[in-house]
Amino acid sequence: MIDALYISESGLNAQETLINVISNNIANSNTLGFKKNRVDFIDLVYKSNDTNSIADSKDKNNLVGMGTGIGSTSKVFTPGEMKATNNPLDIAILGEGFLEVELEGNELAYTRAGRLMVDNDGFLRTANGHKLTSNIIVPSDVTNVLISPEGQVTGYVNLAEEPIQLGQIDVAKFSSVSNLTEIGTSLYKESNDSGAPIYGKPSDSGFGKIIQGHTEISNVSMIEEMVNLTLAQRGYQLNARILQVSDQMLETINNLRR
Amino acid sequence: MPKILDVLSNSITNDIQKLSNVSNNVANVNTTGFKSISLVEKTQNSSFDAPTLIQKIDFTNGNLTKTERPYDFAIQGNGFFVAESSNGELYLTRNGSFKLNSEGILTTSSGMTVLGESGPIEILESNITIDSSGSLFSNGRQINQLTIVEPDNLDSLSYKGSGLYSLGLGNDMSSNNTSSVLRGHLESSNISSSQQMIELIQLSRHMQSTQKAVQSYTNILDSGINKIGSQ
Repeated sequence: MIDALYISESGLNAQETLINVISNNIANSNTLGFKKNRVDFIDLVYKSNDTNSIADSKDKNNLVGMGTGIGSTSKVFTPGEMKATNNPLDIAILGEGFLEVELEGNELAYTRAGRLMVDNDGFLRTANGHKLTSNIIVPSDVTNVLISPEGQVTGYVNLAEEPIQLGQIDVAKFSSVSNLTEIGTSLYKESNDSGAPIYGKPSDSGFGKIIQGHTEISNVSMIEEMVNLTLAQRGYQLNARILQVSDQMLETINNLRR
Repeated sequence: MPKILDVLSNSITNDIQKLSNVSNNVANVNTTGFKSISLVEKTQNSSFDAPTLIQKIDFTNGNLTKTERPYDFAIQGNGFFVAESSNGELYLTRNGSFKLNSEGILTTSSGMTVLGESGPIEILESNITIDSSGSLFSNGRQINQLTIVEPDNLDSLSYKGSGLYSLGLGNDMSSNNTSSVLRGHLESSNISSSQQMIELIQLSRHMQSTQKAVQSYTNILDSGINKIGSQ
């Protein structure tokens, strides 16, 4: 059969993947700390041995394209918008850095979703139930929790004048953020390509600062997703058209000699 | 018997090759930095045959799309980025979708090191700025510059797939003067879908004409074999 059938199949699959990615981005446009995905396509090539129709006597190799494929799907770590919530346990990181949390099995994960809560034992956890490795305990008689931009957590007991120090929240950053492994619920794990986590205090140079009372919403831009959707749809239609024409040409060939 | 059927069959093979090519262009309509390829007929000498086809790459600049990612770059002009593979070979590319590896070195999306004027580009701080000549500044001090190369003869580039071109022999990698680098943007493919559709129409009609020619020829043979000399 002719190559055009398989090439347009690869095109159709690629545009379909793009639509899936766009759809996931849009579905998560209100998820706290969500980072949008994007797809990079590459073209697929093989070397042509057919010297009849594509012959060039010079030294160039004439490579025939075999369609398109997915080069990589990667996360885009541009910052999302800051939304003020007036909830003192909501924190957002303005700038670089992740909060480090502990999963079951003592594994470490990293997240930007800084909606915190105090559990039954007084530990600070994320809203998804993961304990911060900073291991901060908020005693039950603390009425007012303050988190400074440098990550210092202090609490006021009833109407006391002086606050008590509760702990320090540190942040971690990576050399290659886009290579972190995503495990869902806005959590990321270190991978071989991302580099080891570099710890630091918020507001230090190179690290972001903590803004209390705010959350970071997703960085999905609806306009961008709509534009990409249009591109994907039109790309899909074009490839489908090629498929139809290839079919007609094959029919013509079959009918060369009735 | 004159080789009429051979000529017609080669013509059909050419059409199928052109269809594969159009199909490849259209499949890559959303691939960053993809350059449209066309198959053109080589001018015929006097032999009686379907023409041979040559590949011609169209190096027109594609449109720029804004992505706002910190390591996406697009070149305005005729320059290329230079990437080095793990065995030391140099390739040119227009695909500026770069990222950092675990050591903070700037690489292409497939992991090849991007060359700068003073060697591989190491980015350790996130607040670097890049100007339109590709120079990287950290805290106001220049630390490196993206190498941009403008080949004299674009036709001498040979395409190796995945957006990579290698220079033919005898072309030197002289740095450019006229291209500029735009950060946070990517160059989209330069396929013109209307042009590809027109090519498609031409192909399918040409195939039908060829089919008519074959049918006429078989009718002639039929008359010659069965009708001449019959009672």
